[in-house]
Parts: sequence; structure tokens; C-alpha cells
Amino acid sequence: MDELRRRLSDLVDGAENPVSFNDVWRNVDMPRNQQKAKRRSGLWWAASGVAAVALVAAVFLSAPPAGENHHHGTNPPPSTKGANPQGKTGTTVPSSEAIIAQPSFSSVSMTSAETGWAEVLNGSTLGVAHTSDGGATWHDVTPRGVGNTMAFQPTGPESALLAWIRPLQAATVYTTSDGGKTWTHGKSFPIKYGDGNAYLGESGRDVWIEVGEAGMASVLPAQLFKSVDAGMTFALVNQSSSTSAHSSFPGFGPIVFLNAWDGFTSVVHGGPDGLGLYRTTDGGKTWSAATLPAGAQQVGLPVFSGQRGLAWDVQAVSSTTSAPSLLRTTDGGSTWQQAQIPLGSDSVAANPDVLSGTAAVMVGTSGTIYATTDGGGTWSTTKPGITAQQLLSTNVITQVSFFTPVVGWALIGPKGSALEQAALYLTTDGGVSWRAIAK
Amino acid sequence: MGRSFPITEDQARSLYGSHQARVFRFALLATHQPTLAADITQETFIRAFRAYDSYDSRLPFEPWLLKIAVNVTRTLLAKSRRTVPALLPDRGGEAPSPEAIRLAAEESEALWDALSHLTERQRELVILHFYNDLPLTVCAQTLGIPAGTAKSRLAAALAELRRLLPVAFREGGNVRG
Repeated sequence: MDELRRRLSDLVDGAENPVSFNDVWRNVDMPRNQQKAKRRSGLWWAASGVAAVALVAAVFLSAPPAGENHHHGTNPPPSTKGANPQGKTGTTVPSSEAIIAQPSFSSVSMTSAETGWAEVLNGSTLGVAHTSDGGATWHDVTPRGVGNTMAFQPTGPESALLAWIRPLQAATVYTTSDGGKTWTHGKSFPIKYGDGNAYLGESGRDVWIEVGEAGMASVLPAQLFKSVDAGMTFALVNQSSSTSAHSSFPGFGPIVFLNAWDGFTSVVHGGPDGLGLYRTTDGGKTWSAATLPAGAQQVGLPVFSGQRGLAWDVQAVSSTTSAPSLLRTTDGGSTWQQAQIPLGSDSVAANPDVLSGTAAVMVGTSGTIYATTDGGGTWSTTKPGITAQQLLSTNVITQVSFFTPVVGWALIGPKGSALEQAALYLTTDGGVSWRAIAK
Repeated sequence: MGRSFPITEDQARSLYGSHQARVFRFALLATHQPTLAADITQETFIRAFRAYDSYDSRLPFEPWLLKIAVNVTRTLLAKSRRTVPALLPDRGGEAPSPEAIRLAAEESEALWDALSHLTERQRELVILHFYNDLPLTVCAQTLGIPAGTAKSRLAAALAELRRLLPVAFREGGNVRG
């Protein structure tokens, strides 16, 4: 049992349920007009009953069994063989491109002032959406026939990677270069992990996919596959398991590659040499802990522009006792230096956004935007205006994605609400004001 | 009693004995209110026994039961907010020795506080996955959400817990992050 499981169990182990079986059983067949008075608490309500239970059960029983998927199977959906706009030898499938009336956002990624990608909950289906008008309208660009369990990685204004995962069975990687209008996929390949979690990375025609399982084990089991033909075919490069830590692979975590050989993974759930940033120089075959400055704690996945790169020290950013810091490199990640952030008494509202190898933006809970364009050497601080302060007095920012330090999106929703209830807001003045642009 | 229900009293008693503690503790983690957790437990089993004929016995019972518990928790928690602030501790007047359990108590308080900062939906998922040990795909089905949403929601929840509990996640080596 890992630490979080232990701590949760410790919280409630020994807590005894005071309700006896007889308290329950005597209410099971009681006429509804007598139940309210008989039950042991006054916190009951009138609008439930057998019909609601039947509905709940029907919904549950209509769901596929554990480990399966609505689009169960090992093969991608029917599609058109032959040439595609990218000239790849794969299979092309279209998306519906239907406009999503009220997108429910899971995550957003702004790729230019007018374009962006999002993972959205469209009805009961998780899908991918694309905008070309700054976020005002979103089109469903999920490859036709692809099921809910997927990983998604934008790679440019019109380009992206997507993996359709059939847990314990197979994965298929899709690529697009036309904003999701069409997707190209190659062969499906077998996978052995069951949570449907995956991370994607690419550099030119080299594509990596890491399939693993979420959790808090010391080493999260994962398999790393690589394609050298733009995602058409994949070969296993490395793997780890939770029971036998593989010394050359630190476990499940997001991946990024600078070229065919040099890459990083940010291990947030343990690793053979502890948590943090691991580096490969041979395309993923071997990994070692990156050389980080003293005091660096849990480092997030870096973003590179050539040899320049930035990565947040996530643990320090999130800590209330440590000074938040940004790590920067100018030599492709061989060496890293720390840059401090003038956060003052403010704290971090959402995961910081690294825009490039030199630019990064962080939003404080006060609504203040902290931005750098020189790798953390200097910072601009922009305080929210009155309307933004009013907005954030009852709402929270759950995610930010900036195109420049002054133009960006934020998912903002009522405090305590589900992530999907957040609406998309745009700022064009560095966070002085926010304007709802979708939903 | 001449019931026409699809479950006998003996069957119900057996299921209740096997699962009541897990349901109660799920509800307690979700609400941090023992009284409310007891109400949730009672209503969950009432609903489950009434709808037992819709349970497919080829599938595990606990996920089916927890799906009902999740729905009951959401409804009762929403109702209770009208009178009781959510996740306020209800310790029942216990007075443990401060020094003897100081560290444990601080740890528990920190975790309760961290759980209270999660959204309701995040908290349900964390509890189902890490306390009730349901695989993420089963959690998704239990909560009626796509697996991808469960994945992103869990990632956000863990990120929030890591942000709120940096020290706790640093200790033990395998949990930090």
C-alpha cells in the first residue's frame, strides 16, 4: 500500500458506522410516506426512490465492464487507405468538425492568437476540439470512431498527436497537420497496461508513446514505444514495472524529446534515483537522473527552444515554505540553473505555463500574472483590474495557457466546482482583465 | 416479512456486514461529517437492496454499491450545505492526548484540510481510487465519466494534494510528487 493509501486509511480506520443492519432493512420496503419519520436522521429528501435507483443501476450496468472501452477492440475504426495530405503511408480518418455548442473543457492549449486545442467533454464523450477564431467557436475534431480513452498532445497550431488506448489490449497513434480535419494512423500495437494512461512526444518523424498506469506506487509501471516513421509503426524501447524497478527506465511520467536521441521525463511518483527529471541521450533506451542545482525538488517537464529550456520546480512552486523557482538551461539540459520568482506573499493558482525555452507565465491566487521572457532573468508583474478581482473573488483559475505573456486563456470556474464547469476566458492585457469567450 | 424484493434478509445482512464499513468510510472521507456519513451509508444500502435485481452478479458488487454511494453522497452533501458547512470536522467531543498523538493528529488535519480543498468531484475520485482501490477505469464507470476525464481529474487532484502537502509527499520517498 502506498503512502497516500496508507494516509487515507489512517484517517478513517477505526471509524465505526453507527447504522445497524436493522436500521437499513426496516426501511427497505417501507412505504415512502413513512420513511422520513422512521429514518435516523433528518437529512433526507423526497425526490429519489426506486425509479432513481433503477436509473442509477441502469446507467451503471449499461457501462462496459472494467478494463473495457466503449469502442472496444484491437483495431481502429474503418477508414480510407492510401495517400493522405502529409504523404504518409497510413490510414486517414476524418473528424466530424461539428461545432460544439457548449464545450466543457478538460484542458486547453493556446497555440496562436487565433488557434488552439482543447480536450472537451462533449455530452458523455471525451474528445478533442480545435478553434481557429481565438476560442469563440470549437469544432469536434476527434478522429471518427476513436473511443474515450485517449492521450492528446498538441504540437502546433494545426498539428497534434493523439493516442487511442484500449487498456490491456492495444494502442493506435494518430497524427494531424490540418487542425484535426483529418487524422492519419498506422498499425495498432499491443500494450500490457490497463489504466488507459499515456503520454506522447515527438521530434520530426520520431514519435514516442508511453503507456502506463496512474497511482502512487514507488515506480509506476510503463512501456515506452518509439516510431521512426511518423507514428505508422512502433517498437518497444523500454519498460518498467511496479515490482521490479528497471534501472534504465524511471517509470511513468510525461516525456519530451529535443531530437531523435535527447529527451526528458518528469517522474512524479518515484524512480530508481528518486523523484525528478530524468534524461536520455539514446532515444529512450537508457535513462539517468538529470543533473540539477542543489535545492531543486520535483521538476516538471521542460520546454525547449533549441538548446534553451525552462522547467518549473513544481514542488518548490507548490510549497508554502519554499521559494518558487524556475530552472533554465542553455545547453540542451546538460546543466541547469535556478531563477527565483518575485512571488512575495502570493501563492500559485494553477500549474505554471512554459511558453518556450525562454518564456514562462505563472498566475498567483491574487490574480497577478508573473511573466518572464528571458529565462527567468527578469520578471514582469501585472495585477488584476477591478473586474478581474471581482471575478476571482468567487471563482478560481484551474488552468492557464498563454500564447504570449500578455495573450492567454484561463479555465475559470466557481470555487469548489468540478473541473468541467470551468469556462474559457481570454486576456489580451496580461491578466488585467479576463473576458469569457466560450460557454 | 413477506417482502417481494429480489434479495433475502440473510443475503442483505451478509452484504451489509461485508461492505458497510467501506461505504461508511468512503462517505466519511468524502464529507468529513460522521453523522452525514452514517446517513449516506443507510440510504446507500436502502437503495441498493431495493434495486438488487438490477445488479449483475457476474460483476463485482462494491463498484456497483459505490456508484450508488457517490450519488447519495452528492445529493445529501448538497442538501447538508444548506445547514452545515461542508467538510467541517465533527469530532464527536473526543479529547485525545495531545502530546501522544500530536504528530499523527497534525498529519491527519493536514490531509483533511487538503481533501477539503479538492473539488467534490476530485475528492470522490481520489477516495475511490486510493481508498477503495478501484482501478481508474472502474472509477470512471462508477462516476459516469470518460476514462480520460478520470485521468485528467485524478492528475489535477494529485497535483493539488502535492501542492497542499509538500512535506507529506516528500516523506516516504515513494509518494512525493
